[in-house]
Amino acid sequence: MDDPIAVLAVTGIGTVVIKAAGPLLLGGSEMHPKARALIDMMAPCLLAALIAVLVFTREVEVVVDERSAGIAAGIVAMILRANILIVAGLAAITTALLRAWFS
Amino acid sequence: MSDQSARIPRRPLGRQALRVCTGGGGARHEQSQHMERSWSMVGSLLLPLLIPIVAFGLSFGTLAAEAGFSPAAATIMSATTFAGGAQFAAIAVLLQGGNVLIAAAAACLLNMRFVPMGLAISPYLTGGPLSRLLHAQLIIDETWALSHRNDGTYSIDVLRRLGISLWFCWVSATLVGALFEASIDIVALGLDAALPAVFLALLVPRLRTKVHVAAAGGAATITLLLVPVVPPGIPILVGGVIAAVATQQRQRHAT
Repeated sequence: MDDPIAVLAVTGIGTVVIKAAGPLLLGGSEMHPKARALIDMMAPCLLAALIAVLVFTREVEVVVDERSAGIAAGIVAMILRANILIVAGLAAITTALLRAWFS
Repeated sequence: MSDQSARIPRRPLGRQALRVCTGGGGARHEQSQHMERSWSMVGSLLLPLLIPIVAFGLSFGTLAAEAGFSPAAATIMSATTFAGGAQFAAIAVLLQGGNVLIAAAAACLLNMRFVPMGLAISPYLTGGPLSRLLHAQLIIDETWALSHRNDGTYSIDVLRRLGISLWFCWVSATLVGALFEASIDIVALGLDAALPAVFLALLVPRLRTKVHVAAAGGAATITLLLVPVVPPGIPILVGGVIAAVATQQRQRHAT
């Protein structure tokens, strides 16, 4: 079947280019301070956007489901200064339990 | 490449590793002593990511087999693309009868967020073009987020070590999943909540000022507003960039 090979090739090449674009164009060189400040600000923004999508979306819908409760449990663990393993584990367990109860 | 952190950690390894990785709570010179990570430190950061990566890898292998991929093809895709979201998107398109170009386009759209991520990390990628190219392939959400220190710098050492470890786990899990069509029930185990929890734990120390909080909140809001209206992958890219630009603009007008 040719489709898998084709998809693999095109996606692979596209991804290599996408990931390498920044580093190949800018790698190791000094950026203008304003550009640098902008890019530095992108880190928390991108991270927040990523978290929002991972918690509050399903496909193309915005939803509040068991994951939100899981994250809330994780936040409680963070306030209590638990280590990251416990934060993640608590989020997973809470989500899993809620899913088990409600289905 | 010498390994300087041969000290025995006195605090719980997980939290110590997180502090070290996020560079929090110390003077600059103390932080430079943490520059080189020992494998045990990377290892303790690996664990909360390992389980989701293995689970998603198995799941991808299984799904790819369903879509007609041979185990070799599935494994090679994981090895070259190394981006879970994009890989799943491509397979989903194929399973719904879409053609190759649409599948690849969906995958690349989802990967677009790696452009600003790559830009953010590129000042720290010193070395020749080939080195930069290869290091860039290790950029995924997890390695990008974990190699980013609180003070805004990136540890290429963490990127490389964590990246290689996660890459290896991802590829292996794909192979096993494709060969045996075995998977872990991600939904039942709530693993899809574990990953954002890890990212949130990394984000919070970086929200140092109200400006950062506002920027993060803005990014999340814009992203969620865009999700129903634009293809997957675009919301994160646009939301993240717009929030950053808007914040910088307001900073400039304030000073």
